[in-house]
Amino acid sequence: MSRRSGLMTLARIAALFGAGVLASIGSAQPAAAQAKQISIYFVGCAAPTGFHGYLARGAAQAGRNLGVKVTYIYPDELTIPNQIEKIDEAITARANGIAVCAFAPDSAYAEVAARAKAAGIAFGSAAAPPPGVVLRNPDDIFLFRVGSDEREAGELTAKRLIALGVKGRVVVGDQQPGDATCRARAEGEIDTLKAAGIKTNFIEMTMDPGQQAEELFNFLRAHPDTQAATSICDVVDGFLTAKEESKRHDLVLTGYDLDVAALAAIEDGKEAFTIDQQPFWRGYIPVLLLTDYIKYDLIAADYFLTGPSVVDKSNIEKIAKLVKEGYR
Amino acid sequence: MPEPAKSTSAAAPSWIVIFGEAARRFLLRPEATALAAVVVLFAVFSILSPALFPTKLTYISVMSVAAELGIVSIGVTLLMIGGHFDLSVGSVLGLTSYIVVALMRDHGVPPILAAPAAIIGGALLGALNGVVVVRFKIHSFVVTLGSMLIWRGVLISLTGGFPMMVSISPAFRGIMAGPFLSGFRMSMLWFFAIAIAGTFLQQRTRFGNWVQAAGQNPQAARNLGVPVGRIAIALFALAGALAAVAGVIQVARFSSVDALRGEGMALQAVAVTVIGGTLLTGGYGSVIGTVLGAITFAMIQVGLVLVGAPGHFFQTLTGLIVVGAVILNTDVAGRMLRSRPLRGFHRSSEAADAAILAAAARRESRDVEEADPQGRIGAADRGERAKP
Repeated sequence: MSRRSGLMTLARIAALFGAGVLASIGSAQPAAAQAKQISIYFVGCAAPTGFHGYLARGAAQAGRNLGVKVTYIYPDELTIPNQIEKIDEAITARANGIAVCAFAPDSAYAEVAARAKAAGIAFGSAAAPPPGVVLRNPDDIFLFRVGSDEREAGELTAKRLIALGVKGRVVVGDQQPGDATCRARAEGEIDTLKAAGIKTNFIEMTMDPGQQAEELFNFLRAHPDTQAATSICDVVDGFLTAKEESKRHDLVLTGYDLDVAALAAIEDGKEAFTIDQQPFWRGYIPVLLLTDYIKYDLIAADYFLTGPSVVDKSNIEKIAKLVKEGYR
Repeated sequence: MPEPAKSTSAAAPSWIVIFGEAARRFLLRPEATALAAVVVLFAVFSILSPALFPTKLTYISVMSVAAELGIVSIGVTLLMIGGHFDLSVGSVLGLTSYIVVALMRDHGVPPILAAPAAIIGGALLGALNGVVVVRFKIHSFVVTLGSMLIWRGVLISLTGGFPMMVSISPAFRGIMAGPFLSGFRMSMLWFFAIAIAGTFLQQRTRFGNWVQAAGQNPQAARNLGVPVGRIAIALFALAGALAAVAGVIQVARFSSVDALRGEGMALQAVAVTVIGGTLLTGGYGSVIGTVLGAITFAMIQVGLVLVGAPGHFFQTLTGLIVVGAVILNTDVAGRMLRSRPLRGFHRSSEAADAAILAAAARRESRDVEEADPQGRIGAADRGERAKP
């Protein structure tokens, strides 16, 4: 090797070493800052859209308000193994606290909860407690449970329909067959209606609003005695279109969650009511509870129910602005 | 496809033979089995629901579903004939729907400009897939799986996860998705227009020949001077543009976009394309077959509701019927390929005759080997089975 090329090589090595030193100094300060900031992972059930979008937004808002770092992660497909894998990723990322949108029985989470506890990570559930249980069980694998009972939401829909005088057939459309939360809603509604002697049908749909509209349209043709229809697992656009195109202005439409389309439909009277799970709270409160536990060792004595609640024409005006801003 | 046949004997064949040979040649076309699926399903659903199924309202409903899905599927079909897949068409539909809504709602752009802008956007998104596939020689399945996730993530991010509404003028709604003829929607008209254009492109242009050549054997096509890379990029752009057209129609109809718009449509489009007779391996297919495939798929969706099928099994039944239609398609197509012209006709080329019979014999012998790898069946039996 010539003297000149040798000097060039040494110069390159020195430049690389200097860049590395500068980079490590540069990252040390933010890393040091990050080390002090509490890190919370919110393991969701799905991508942050629709209902889960409110959840994620609530969690993010809580992070901003409380000065903690909140990371929302979710499995591509909601299965127990996929979600457990996400929780494991949060543990590996050395989260200070983990809130999980639990959809499976507690036994599915027992092992990962024990691993989180062993790693000194606070572990809570962003799902409702078992029905009728208010006070926290000291042996609960979760530090807290925050949510709205999906089955009860379905039952509330059914009771409300009965109160509105619906006696004819009711059809419940599920746009995401296989989604456990939506199935719980559907079962709650169907079981309550059947117990009241009302004929009920369950139909699987797709996420495409055009296909939803045609499916409901044809269902109404096949069952002209249908008096009400519930959209269980998606925005209500397809149902509204079917109602209009079938000229069934008497059809009682109900749905879940609030968005601008549902807001307009309730204001216009095209949709009778929607069940609001107050999902913003369901994202916000877990972050708050985790932060207070991490900082002050506080544990709530009872479980926190965020819903269900009914939003209809009588109370829609109060929350219209919040719907448009994405909080309700 | 066999070369045109001609009569050999001095005496003209009987009208039965002529009719039979015409039917046989029709059944050799990829559209034939898709048409058979439509006819069979129509008959089945009409028998199961005679009061509701064979009615104008049903036809309107079927064409409404078929149009939006079919427009996306035509792009996927041409791409599959060219030897590629695009799993991102659903995400492109969603993202281009967002473009229309955002341009109209947030920037006051009139629909006459917003719609073409979204379609151009869709074409660019598709072309990007094509460039990556061609430049880096990665299988299109993998590239478009990635882009499907990317565009869906972008859409979720842009919408914040929440639906967006936009005010749509009655004129725009009417032109894109409104009723125009006895209740049938304008989307059906767009669907047919695109199908005619696609058929012309596939069957009457040099580009269409290049697409089939590239799909059958890209290397051989390249050796013959076909610009295989540019063809691929053009096909991806076309698929993206057509997905955007479907997105514009949905925005016009529903005055909204949401973060999951178009979810699942890519797989539906592939199913429709395969029902229509297009081969997953490429090089063979038909736009008209896809039109019939879209109508088949829509009939299944509508028919299951009208006949009162159990609501918990819609997905299962839809899947079973789709698989059944494809099996019918493949089986009948295979039988027809092995069939001989009727007495009184022969293929004009003896070489074509020999090639088809040899391919049939090779297929038979491969089937026998797979069924009997240890050769337990006697040679005499194999010989008998090998006879056409």
